[in-house]
Parts: sequence; C-alpha cells; structure tokens
Amino acid sequence: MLELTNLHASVVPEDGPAREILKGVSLSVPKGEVHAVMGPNGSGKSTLSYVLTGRNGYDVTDGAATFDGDDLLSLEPEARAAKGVFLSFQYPLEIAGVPVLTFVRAALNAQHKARGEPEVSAPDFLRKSREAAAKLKIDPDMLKRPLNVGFSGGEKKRLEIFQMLMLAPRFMILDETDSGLDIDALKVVAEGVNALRSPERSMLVITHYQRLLDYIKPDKVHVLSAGRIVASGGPDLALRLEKEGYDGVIEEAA
Amino acid sequence: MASSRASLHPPRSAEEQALIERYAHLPADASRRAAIEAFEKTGLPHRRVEGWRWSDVRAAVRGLECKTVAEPPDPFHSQAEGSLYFYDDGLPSRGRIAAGVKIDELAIGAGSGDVAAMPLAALTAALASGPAVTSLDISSDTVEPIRLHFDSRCDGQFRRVEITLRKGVTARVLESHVAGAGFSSVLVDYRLEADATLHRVVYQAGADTAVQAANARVWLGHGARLVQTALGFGAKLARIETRVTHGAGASEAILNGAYLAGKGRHVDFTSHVGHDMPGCVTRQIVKGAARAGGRGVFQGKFLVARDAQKTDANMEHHALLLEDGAEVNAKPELEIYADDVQCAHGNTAGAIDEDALFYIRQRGVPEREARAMLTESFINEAFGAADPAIADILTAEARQWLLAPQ
Repeated sequence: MLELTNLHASVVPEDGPAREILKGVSLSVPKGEVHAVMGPNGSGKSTLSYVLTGRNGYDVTDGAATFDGDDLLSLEPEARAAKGVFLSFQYPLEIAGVPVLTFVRAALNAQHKARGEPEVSAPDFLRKSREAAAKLKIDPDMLKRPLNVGFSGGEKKRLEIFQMLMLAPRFMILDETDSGLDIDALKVVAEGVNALRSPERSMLVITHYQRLLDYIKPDKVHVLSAGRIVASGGPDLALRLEKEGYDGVIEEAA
Repeated sequence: MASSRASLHPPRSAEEQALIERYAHLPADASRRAAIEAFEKTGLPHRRVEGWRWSDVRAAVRGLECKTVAEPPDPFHSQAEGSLYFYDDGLPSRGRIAAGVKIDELAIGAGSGDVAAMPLAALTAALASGPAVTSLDISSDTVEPIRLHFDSRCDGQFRRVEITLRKGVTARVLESHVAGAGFSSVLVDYRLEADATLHRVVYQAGADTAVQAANARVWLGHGARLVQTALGFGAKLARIETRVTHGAGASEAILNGAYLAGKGRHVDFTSHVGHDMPGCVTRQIVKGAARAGGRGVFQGKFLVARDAQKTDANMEHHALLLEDGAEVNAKPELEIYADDVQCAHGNTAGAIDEDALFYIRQRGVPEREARAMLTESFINEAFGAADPAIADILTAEARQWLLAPQ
C-alpha cells in the first residue's frame, strides 16, 4: 500500500540553511498491516509523518514514496487526504471559531467531493458522530465547541481519533498519539484505533515507547535512527528496545 | 507667512472647485453656508492633514470615471420592511415605515454642529440635497429594523440624516452604503436620549471607481447604549468614520467592525470616542484582512476627559495580511486626563497561521477553503455583538468574498 524507497528529505527553515533529516528511508507497509516506527528524539520520526502528508517547509531531495502505486509526493496535502491518508498530529492545532462538527463535516464533504462521492446527509452525519463520540467516551457537548480550543492534551488526542473514525481513512499515521494520555485514556484511544483495523487499511504508528504497542499490536516494528531505518523485526523488537534501550539496538545494527 | 499658508492650503483642485459650484446651485441657508465655509477652509482632506495620512481623498477623487457597473449589492434586502432608499438624486423612496417612527424631510438644515474635525461631514452638510436633512424621530420600540440604503451609481450623492431615539427606546438601524462610481458622502447624526438603545449596522461596498464616506456622529444620553457592527469592503477609497460622545454618563458603546480589502480597494475605519462624563464603558473590536493590492486603515481614538472617572474602555484591532503586497495601517490612540480609569488597547497584524492551515488541509479541505475558514473565524469575532440574523448575513457576505476567485 505504502512504499518508501531511499527517501531523503530536508527541513527548510525560513531563516536558515536546509538540514537533511531523512537520509534514505526504505519501508513497505502492505495493505492490512500495522507498522510501528520507533526511535530516539531527533531521529526523524515526525519529519517522516510530515513528508508523507505534504507539509510545507520540507524538501524531498531524493527517493520516492508511492501510495497504491501512485506518486504521493507530487500531491497537495488535501489530495493525499482524499486518497485516504490521515495524520493524527502529535500536537493537534486549535482552530478558533470553528466548532468540531462543522469542521469535520466540511472535511468529510471536501473528501467526498474530491473522490466524486455524494455529500453525507445531515442525519447520517449526526448519527455517525454520536456513535463515534460514544465509542471514545467524548461528551457530545464538546463537539459543539471550537476545535481543540481550551481542550486538554488528552482531549485533543481523543478528538484526533474521533476525526479518524469519522473520516474513515485507509492509511493512518499516528504521531506520538500516546503522549499526554493517562492509562485509561490510552485504552479508549487504542480501542478507537483498533476499531478501524481491517484488511483494507494500514497504519504507521510512530512512538517513543513500547507502551502504546501493548494496545495497538503491530505486525512489524522498525527502528529509525539518524534518518535511516537501522533495524526491522516483529513485535518482539519493541520489547527488546524497551529492555535494552535504543543505544544497544542501534549499535548492534551499525 | 504667505508661503506657509500656501503649503497648508494648496490651490483648490478642479474637483474641489466643482464641489463648491455644486453648493452654489443649492438653496441657500445659514446651516449650509456655515458648513461650506468650514469645508472651504480645509478643502478635501489629503495625506498631510492629521487623521488622513493614509486616506488621501483629494487624490482619490481625481479622474473618477462614471462607467456602467454591475448592480451594487443589497445584503439586507430581505431584512427590513421599513426602508428609505437613497439614489443619486431626488427624494428617498420609502418602504413601509414602522409605527412610532416619524419622518420629516427638511428643506433647511438645522445647523451641523462642530464639523471642524470632520471635513467630509462639513462637505456633506453643505451639499446634502433632496432633502437637506431627512429626520427620523423614534418614539417607541421598533421590532423591524429601519433600513437606510445609499446607492450611488455615477454622479455620487451627499445625504444627511438625523435620527433621534427618545427616552428608553430600542431601535435597530441598518445602513448600507454601496457605490458603483462617483464620490458620495453620507452624514448620519444619532441622538440617544436617556436609556435608549441603538443597534446600528453599517455595510459598505464600492467599486474601484467610487469614493465613499459614511460619516456618523452618535451622542449618548445618560444610560444609553450603542451596539454598532460594521462590515466594509472598501472602494477606490472608502472611509467609515464614527464619532461617539458619551455625553451624560453611565452610557455604553460597542464599536465593532470588520474590513476586507481586496485588490484595488482601500477601506478606512476611523473612530473617535469622547468620554466626557463618568462611568462610561466602551468596547471596540475591529478585525481586518487585506489581499495583495488592498489596503486597510484603522484609526481609533479614545479620549477620556478629566471628569470622566471610572471610564472602562478597551480597543482591539487585529489584521491578517492574506498575501504579499497587502497593506494595513493602524493607529490606536488613548488620550486620558482622568486618573481613575481602566483603558487598554491591543493591536496586531500578521499572516495566516501556516500550521493551522496545514492541519485543515491534512483533513482534506482544499487550500482556498482552508484559508477562507481560518479568515472567517478570525473575522467573525467582530460580528459577535450583532443580532444573530444580521451576523449570519455579514458572515455570508464575508465568506463570499473569501471564496471568490482572485
């Protein structure tokens, strides 16, 4: 489903020289699989998520990324979203003045329009939003408030998963979704994510800690270090990282 | 001596000469004469005149062409039954007017008050015709808003309206100032008796071949309340100027507004609030956005006199520069002579938050709509004090502008 081949990318700050962060990432996530990308701070985990979703300020200098065989990198962010790529942000943004449901409805209809599908009717949309909110234990009143404004870190993360359930993407990137969540919230969020697992969907779970992977069980684990994938393995690799730390695993790979 | 005077009062321009000639054709009365004399002293305001640095009317009226234009908008057409329509000439045409509103069309102006600080108000008082003054006396609450629609197509118009709200009365007035071409200026004087409440909405939209001024003076009696919401799209030059006087104490003024300046448009929000008496409250939120080739101007002044203790006044102006080449000039001013007051102001100008923009696009919303969504939510705060139905109309107008192809 997602194929990365020798992907090189630089961050381009407005007031400084470009700095290469990804130094040849190759990765294949087949349909239906959940892959975890783990790595120490500064290894390029967030850059990877932004490059895949088309954020400004990143230059791909070499390599390729395809999604269902199509070049992903030439598409605008909204076109990638319409293809079904969803990023759950590490730090979700506050959108003042736009209520959650208004926002999600605009996003859903924009995606439907881009795919040539009919608009979602208001009753269908409301029913679906009530179901998703109940699943994530979100107070329905919260959905009338401006998106993320004044929400706690945990509430923001829950709202990311709420949007994910509503938009039903085909490829989900979860960037540090566990940060800011207590253990109960983590379980609720993981249940929401697991509800979307299907043979038609894939996920890239980006995380520091093994903890999240107890609840969202990956098919494969990759270790990202200094912009390269230095080790790949099954779920036991995450357990080893937890025990031995990144240094041991990375040294061994080098 | 002679040379310094010459620099203060440059030779009269052809347009100024034409305006003075226009006066000569009107019936003479003392009120008009005083006004034209005041105007003759200043001429059309230009960039070297205090308060007009960024809005050079003298230059803007030069070579205004009268060409056929699209029908100017009328956003409140479905709103009010009680309407007065003002076209380029002739008497205003009237819709059904609510009971409790008495309208007089006066052939002679009843003095124009202190117009020295408002040169375009002086010009308007001098040239207002058909009638010299339209006077509205509101003696009971009106549910339906009263609409004043000023529609200028070519020659431009000068109109003067006086509106009195009697003691304790609540009234809603919707002013729309639209222009396809020409130079037009409107002066509306509001007088609120004790405990009266005025909900005033000002809508302005003009072509890039029009120069418009919407001047207003609002005098607030004891305990009176003004709730003003304005939306301006500018013109070749448009000035929306409001002067409020807290004249008797314990009154409140809300002076909100938003401007959206597209290519070739200049929109100037200028306000002056005089706190003359104790215990008055003023709240002002002005939001603006400008595109490449568009210019927004905000000038706000709060004056707090020595006797105006316990004044509570806050002024906010925030602007978004939507593209490179957009321009916003701002001058917030507080002048305070009383010592027991709470006065503050905030003023910012910046670009759209790129992180928020990416977040919205990542959810599938195309860039233009994402920008419109962010700008709309930014602007909307300025409509928060208006009646919800009116706020919806203003929001829809703003959205249409934001989504229009450039």
